[in-house]
Amino acid sequence: MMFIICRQLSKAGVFFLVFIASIAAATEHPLRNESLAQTEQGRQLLKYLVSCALPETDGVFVVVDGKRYVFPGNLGWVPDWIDRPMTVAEKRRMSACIAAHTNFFGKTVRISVRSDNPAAPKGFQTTAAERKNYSFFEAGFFGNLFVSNPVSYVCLGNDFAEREKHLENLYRVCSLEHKNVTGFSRCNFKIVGLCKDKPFVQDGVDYSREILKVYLPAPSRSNAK
Amino acid sequence: MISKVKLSTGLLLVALTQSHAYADISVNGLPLNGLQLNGLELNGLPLNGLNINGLPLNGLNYNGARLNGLDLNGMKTLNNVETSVESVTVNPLVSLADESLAK
Repeated sequence: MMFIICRQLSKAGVFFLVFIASIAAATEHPLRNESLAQTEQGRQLLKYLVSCALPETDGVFVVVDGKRYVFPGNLGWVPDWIDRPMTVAEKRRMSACIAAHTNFFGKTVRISVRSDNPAAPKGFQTTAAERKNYSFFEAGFFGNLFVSNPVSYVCLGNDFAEREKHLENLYRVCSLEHKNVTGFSRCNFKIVGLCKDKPFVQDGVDYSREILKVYLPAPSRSNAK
Repeated sequence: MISKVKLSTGLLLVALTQSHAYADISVNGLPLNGLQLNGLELNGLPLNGLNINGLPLNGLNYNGARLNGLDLNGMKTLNNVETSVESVTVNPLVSLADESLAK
């Protein structure tokens, strides 16, 4: 029966079936540390943590007050965290991912997250269409949020006159300078200069292998330098 | 890969903290004046350098979030902070990372 159905499906249909099958095959693991899952804010952060860490084939779940919450994986940036503690490098990877996904306004924005690390998982691979549609280099994000005194840095991507206006229009202002605090972005990330200058060593720590870069749609009229 | 994100700074930073109420303003055996409290530095730094877990307080006032009992929307001054602090923060991400994600 399945054979007959498949014969009648287009290539797209077969692809869709495979896609659905792959979703159905995702394994949901019970969350070990449930403290963050107790609040809505914590679950929101947990959603991004799991999304960054695990691939699409894995996820975690937790039951809070009788309600089951599922957090699916996506990028697969720190997949081994599923069954062991994070290493220091993995903490930096995760921190970069969380910072890259942080918006000032809490408003949904589509971003293209990329890594220069050749070992980056397929979650960071881009198609030609994505590179074309998301050609504006917003910023690079790095740091370590998993320590007693978290640090988060941002280096600036495209540098042109209307950068601020463009990013404000896109509701992505975490790389724009804070109105009142010199040297920090509006999301309290420390601004460390232009990414092209590779300011990836901060306070003696080299974050060059963990940094994540975010690309956005380009301005409608190109005026980049 | 294109991601849809709406994680707000306020949520991130509030989630990074966990309040523990204290009966007085002495924490970990240290008085607040001029001393560090898990990175919460008060008189030791100017307002612009005021940190919670290393993150500056200024601007941490999004979404009407309250943190450590301080109304950050009001952009309290250093003196306000000193007199109204009721808690310190710990970073729950530390313990989260120090064990496996799944059981």
